[in-house]
Amino acid sequence: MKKLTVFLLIAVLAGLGCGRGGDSGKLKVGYVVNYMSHEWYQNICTAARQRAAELGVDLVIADANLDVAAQISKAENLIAQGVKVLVLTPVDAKALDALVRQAKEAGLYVITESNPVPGSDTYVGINNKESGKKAGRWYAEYAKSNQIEPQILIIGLPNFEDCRLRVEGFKEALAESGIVYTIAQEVDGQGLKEKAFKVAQDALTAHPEVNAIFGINDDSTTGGMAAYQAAGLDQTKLTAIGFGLEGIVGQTALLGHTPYKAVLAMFPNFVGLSLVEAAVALGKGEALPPHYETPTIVLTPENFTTYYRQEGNGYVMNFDAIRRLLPAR
Amino acid sequence: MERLRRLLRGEQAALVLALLLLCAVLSALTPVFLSAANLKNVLRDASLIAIAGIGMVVVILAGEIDLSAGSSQAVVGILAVLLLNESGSLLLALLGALGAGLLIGLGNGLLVTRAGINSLIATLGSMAILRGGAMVGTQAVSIQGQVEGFTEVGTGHWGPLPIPVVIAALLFLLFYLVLHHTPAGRYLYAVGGNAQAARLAGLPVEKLKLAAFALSGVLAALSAFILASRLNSGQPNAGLGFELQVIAAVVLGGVSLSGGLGTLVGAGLGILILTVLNNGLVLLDVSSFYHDIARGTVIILAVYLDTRRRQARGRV
Repeated sequence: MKKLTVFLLIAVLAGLGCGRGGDSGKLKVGYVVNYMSHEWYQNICTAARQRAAELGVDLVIADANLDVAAQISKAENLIAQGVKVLVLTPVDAKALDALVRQAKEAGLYVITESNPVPGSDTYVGINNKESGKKAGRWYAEYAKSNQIEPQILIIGLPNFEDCRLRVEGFKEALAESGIVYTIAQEVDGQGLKEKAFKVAQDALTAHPEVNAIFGINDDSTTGGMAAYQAAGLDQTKLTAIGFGLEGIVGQTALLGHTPYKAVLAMFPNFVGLSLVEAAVALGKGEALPPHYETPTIVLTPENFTTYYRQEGNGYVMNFDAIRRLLPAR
Repeated sequence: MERLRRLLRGEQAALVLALLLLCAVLSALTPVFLSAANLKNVLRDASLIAIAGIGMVVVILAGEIDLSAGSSQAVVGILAVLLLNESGSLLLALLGALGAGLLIGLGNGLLVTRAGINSLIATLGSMAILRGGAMVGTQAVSIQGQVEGFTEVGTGHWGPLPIPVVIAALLFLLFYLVLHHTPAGRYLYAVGGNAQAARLAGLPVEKLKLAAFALSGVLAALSAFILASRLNSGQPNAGLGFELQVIAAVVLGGVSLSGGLGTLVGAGLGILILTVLNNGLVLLDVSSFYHDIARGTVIILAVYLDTRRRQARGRV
């Protein structure tokens, strides 16, 4: 009886072992996203799932919902489930050192999205500062050719380093351009249209001379534009420069003949696709650069259709065109 | 002179003085503060909190709390914009929004009065369900309004005053009369002051509480409708932390969280103080990192002073 029990126990354990590793050799990737309740991450996840299906990758996605403790515990669950590659969009990059070390000790590859974390194999995302500079250069050129003396309202999100870098880049490019300009005020719109509207409304009262708004995401810029309109200021004098083109909000503003003249496009779906491609490359044992950069470009209504094509009522990205923006890896 | 002395000793004297002091400091520091455009902004911002705040005052006076006001900003705003885009009718969208608010309020009220769940827990639950519903329903993508004239509700004027300010003022007047000059208002204070005693006195305690929640739901929905109009969109992230803003403002205004104590005028002053403070900090270009510290300090200080005053008068 004792022997039978031991035999059954071994058989069950062996069965469990087979179950864990026996799913047809598919690469298993776990992704803990920081905030699924945002269109940007929705688009990243949609594209990642799509690319995973195309490449035969088993992708599991969990949401930390801006809670770093939840991110760590969900990542640990994924490690326990036997993922080969762990992908993280850090809620707080500084809080993930131990998790990354734990994952590496367990023999996993670790990819972070948007922020680097020491010890990870690579991080996938845009170069925020350089992208901010692209937006700044575009606006400096625009102001020069339209003889505008810019009085700029910046709607930022200073709690997040990515967003601070975007603003820094934007300001640096303006300073380097040699144009005469004034930063009328910088406010914190918390990345949300509602909050951006409120602070922009107050800032525009103090600075009705503002003729340019730069926001760190679509909601910030469009919230600022709504406040400008609500304040009864002359919209023909306003130039709004967005950052992100995260989804429908930005596309509608850019193509709707509004003051939203240009946006630094971050191509969220391409980021999602890149996450899976980087995971596959690591799974094959390929070495990746520390920063697996995804492309950005300033889009205006004129060049929009080079990178997006209409499908039904919406637009989808032209991945081939976006891929051509990449330097050779 | 006697009238002035009475006013200074009155319930809201400290709040009036605090508000005046804040306004005086801000107008000395920035000339923009007292401009008509800025005062309109302050009143317009305050009106959104005030409309939902009236409902919150009623619920708190009844001895309960409603944490779902923020999440209902999202759900109701989205529903209103969807209805508006489908029907093209502003009236239908408004009625739909108010209907949804009524259902939310009744749901909260039934959870508290029938199921016997503590209102903090019941509305914490409905807050999470509503926020989740807004996310599921939209996949976190905001819904853009497509009907001309919708933004007029939130950004337009009736005479020299912004429409939301007029709506808030009328509602304030109406509920001031209801709370302080009708039996229903007195019953509400009685229920919040001592539910057991009110029940023994034959008051329909549960019905009054249910009505308070229903009212809170409808008024939060009206505020959500105006917000959606201002933004010309239904935002799944709208109203994040809104309920705490509203509660902080009315508590700052002297409404006691234990129920049965406080006035609508006090709540209005509390709302104005917090709105003026927020506005002033932006006008003065103070880093946003300090905004929360300033708000928190003002709330603690004001409530502390108020408690001291009540203690001195033997009311607590």
